[in-house]
Amino acid sequence: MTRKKRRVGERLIESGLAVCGLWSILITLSIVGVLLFETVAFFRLPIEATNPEIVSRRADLQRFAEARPDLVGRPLALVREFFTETTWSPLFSNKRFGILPLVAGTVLTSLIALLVAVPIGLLAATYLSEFASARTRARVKPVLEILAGVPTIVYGYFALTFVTPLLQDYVFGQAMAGQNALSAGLVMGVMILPLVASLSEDVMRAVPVDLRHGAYALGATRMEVAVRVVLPAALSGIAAACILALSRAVGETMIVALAAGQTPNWTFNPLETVSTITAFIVQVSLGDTPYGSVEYRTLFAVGMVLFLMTLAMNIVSYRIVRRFQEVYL
Amino acid sequence: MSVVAAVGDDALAARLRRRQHVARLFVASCQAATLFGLLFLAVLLVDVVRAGAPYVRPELVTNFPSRFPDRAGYLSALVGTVYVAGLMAVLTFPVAIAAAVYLVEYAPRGRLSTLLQINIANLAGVPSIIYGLLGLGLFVEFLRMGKSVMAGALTLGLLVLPMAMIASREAIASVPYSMREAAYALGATRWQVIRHHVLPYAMPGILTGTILSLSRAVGETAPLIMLGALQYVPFLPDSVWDFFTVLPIQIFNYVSLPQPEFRRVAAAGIILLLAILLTLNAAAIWLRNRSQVRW
Repeated sequence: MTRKKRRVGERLIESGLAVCGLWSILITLSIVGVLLFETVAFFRLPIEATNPEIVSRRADLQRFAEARPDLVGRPLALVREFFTETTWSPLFSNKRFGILPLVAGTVLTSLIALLVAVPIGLLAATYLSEFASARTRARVKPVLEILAGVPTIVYGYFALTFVTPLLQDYVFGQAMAGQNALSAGLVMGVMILPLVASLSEDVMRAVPVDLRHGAYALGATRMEVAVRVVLPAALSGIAAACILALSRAVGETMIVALAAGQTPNWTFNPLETVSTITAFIVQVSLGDTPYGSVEYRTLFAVGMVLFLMTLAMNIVSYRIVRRFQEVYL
Repeated sequence: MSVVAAVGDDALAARLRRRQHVARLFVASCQAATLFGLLFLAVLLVDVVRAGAPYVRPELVTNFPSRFPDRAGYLSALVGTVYVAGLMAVLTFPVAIAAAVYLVEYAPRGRLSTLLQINIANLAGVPSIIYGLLGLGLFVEFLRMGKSVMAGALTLGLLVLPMAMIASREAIASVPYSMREAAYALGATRWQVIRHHVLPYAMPGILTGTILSLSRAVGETAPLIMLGALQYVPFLPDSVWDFFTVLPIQIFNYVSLPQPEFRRVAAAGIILLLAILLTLNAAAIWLRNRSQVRW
C-alpha cells in the first residue's frame, strides 16, 4: 500500500519537474509568438487603413493614413520600404519606415567593438594560454571576467562622460559629435573583450600539448608555436567565440542608447551620431506609447529583426563549437 | 643560439636572433593586451569614484529623486530594486532548480533532452531588450498587469531563468553517481535520492549560480526601461501592482539630464550599484570556496 502511494507521489513529482523543464520551451514560444503577432500587425497597417470603420475609430490609424496615404492598401509597398529605404522616422509626423539606418548603426557600432575586442582578446588569450604561469592565469582571468559583469549602464556612463570628451579634446576635436558611434563601439569592445579572451583561451588550452612539442622539436620559438600551431588548431573555436561576441554587441542596449545617440543616420562615419535597433527601442519606451499605436508596433517589427539577427549568429556559433568539440575527443 | 654560433653558420645565427627578438616583442604585446583590460577597469573605477564621491552621503539613500542635484537621491530606486529582485528570486529560482533537476535526473537522453539543451543555450543568447519587448507585450498589455513590480519581476525572471538553470544543472550534474547508487542500494526512491542526497550536495553550487544570476538581474537596465521607464517616482511601491523604478534606470535618468551636476549624482548611484553587486559576488565566491567539495 505505502509502496503504491509512494509510486503515485513519485509520478506527481516527476511531472511537476517536467513542467518546469518544458517551461523554457514555453518562453521561447512566447517570445516568438509576441514578436510575430505584433510584427504581422505592423505590416498589416496598410490593410487596416483601408477599412473606414476601423480608421474612424482609431486615432493612430488615422495618423498613419494621413502621414502615408501612398501606403494605404499596399502592404507590399510597406514591406519593400522597410527593407530597402534609408529613412527611419516613425516618431515624426513625416513617417518613414526604412530600417536600414538602424541596421547601419547597429552594424557600425558592433564592428568597431569587434575591432577592439578581437585583436586584444586574442592576444590576451594567447598570453594566458601560452605564456602566463598558472598562478598569473588564476589571478588575471577572474579579474578580466569582472569586465563582463560590469552593468552596461556603467559602461554607457563611462563612454559618454569620459571616453567621448577625451577623444574630442585630444584626437578629433569638434568633428566628433557628443554622441557618436566610435566611443560607444570602443567601450562595447571592452565589454565583450572577456568573452573573446576567455572562450578563446579555453579552446587554445584544449589544443593537445603534443602538437606544441612537435613544433618545438623542429626549433620553433614560443611565438611561432602560438601563432602557427595553436592558433590555427583552435581557429574554429575562436571563430565561434567571435561570433558570440558579435551577437552580444548587436543586442547590447544601454551603451549605445547613452553614447551612440538616438538619431537614425544612414552613415558609416563613426564620428557621427547614429541610432541602433536597441537604442530606438529604448527611445520609444521612454516616451508614452499607447498600446496598438503605430510606434508601439514598430518596436516589435525592429525587435523581430534584432531577434533574428542574434539568433542566426548564436546558431552558427553553436554549430561551429559542436563540430570543433569532435576534433580532439 | 650559442650552439648554432659554434657550428659557425653566422646567417643562421642572425636569423635565429631576429626570430627570438620578434618572439619577445610578441610576448610583450600579449602582456600589454592582457594589461589593457585590467587598466581600463581601473580607470573606469577611479573616474566613477572621483566624480561620485562628493555625493556619497546618507541623503543619497534616504532622498527621493529631485530636480535639484543636491537633494536628489535613490530611495525609491533602491527599494524598487530590492522589491523587484526579491520577487523575481522567489518566483524564478524554484522553477530554475526544478527544471535543472528534471534535465539531469529524469529527462530521457534523446531528442527532447537535446532540444531542451539547445533551446536553453539559445535563450541565454537572446538580447535582454527582447525580454523587455516580451514583458511589454505579454505581461503589461496581454495579461494587463500594467507597468508594475510584478511585471518587472516576471520579465527579469524570464531573462535570468536560462542562466540560473544552466548553473543549477552543472551543480547537480557534478554530484558523483556513486552517491546516488549508495542511496538506491538502501531502497530509496528516485525522489528520495534527489531530495536527501543529490540536492544537499549540489546546494552550494546552485546557490552560487543563483546569486550570480541575481546580480545580473540587479544590474540589468534595458528590459525594465520598457516597463518602469517612469522618469520620476517619488514614492515607494505599496504592493506588487504599483509602479516602480530601479537603481540602473534612475542612474540612466540622471545621466540623461543636461546639468553636469546630475552626472555626479549618477556616478554616486553607480558607486552604490557596484557596491551592491560586489557584495553579491563576494557572497557567491565565499559560498563556493567555503563548501567546495573535492570528489
